[in-house]
Amino acid sequence: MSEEKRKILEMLAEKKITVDDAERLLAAVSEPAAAGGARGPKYLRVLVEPAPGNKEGDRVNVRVPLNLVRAGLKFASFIPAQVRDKVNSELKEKGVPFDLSHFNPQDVEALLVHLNDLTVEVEGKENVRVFCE
Amino acid sequence: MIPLWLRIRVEEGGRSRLSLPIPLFLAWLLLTALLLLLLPLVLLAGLLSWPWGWGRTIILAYFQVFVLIGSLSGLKLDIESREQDKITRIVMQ
Repeated sequence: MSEEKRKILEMLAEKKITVDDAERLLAAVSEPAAAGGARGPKYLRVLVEPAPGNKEGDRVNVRVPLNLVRAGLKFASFIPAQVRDKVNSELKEKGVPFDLSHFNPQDVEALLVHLNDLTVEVEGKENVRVFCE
Repeated sequence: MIPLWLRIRVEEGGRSRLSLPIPLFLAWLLLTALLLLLLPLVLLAGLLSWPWGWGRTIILAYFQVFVLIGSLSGLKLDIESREQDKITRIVMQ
């Protein structure tokens, strides 16, 4: 869920706005995405920053084009069936029950379209933020 | 759109230490020539290994290399070392 949508819902929960207002605002917030078609995000961003108290540590800012992720993931669909079974069993052994035979480009596309709302934040000695833009 | 330039920039103590634009289009020309030279070999390897299921993989992977190169545009990496007061930026555009 995007930040704007969350704020609108919070304002509604706090009764700062009416249900009608919230509906109008939500529609307005969704409009740019709809007008832009199903373009979705273009980049996967990874930001690593030292935590506020941490005076050491490096800052890392990586921007990976999602087309590159798409192209990389497509390699998985080229794996021959017999090798795919081997990879699946190895993954299962390592505790990752991921079936490569169910992996197809349409799923990747759906996954990438929905990455728009993804934000992963890990706080510790360093703060890591993964999101799409 | 394939990336035409790779820009490497290093700043140290707020001053630019290195600003290096690398013309990737020259590298792509060489790589394309190399890949085209390899095409008959790839096709042959694909045909020979088809019975074992690797043929499709080899041929599709070969063509996927072009897609991969075309997708590199916009790749950016910034690393800021606070200890050394150094910023390294790598951008493909």
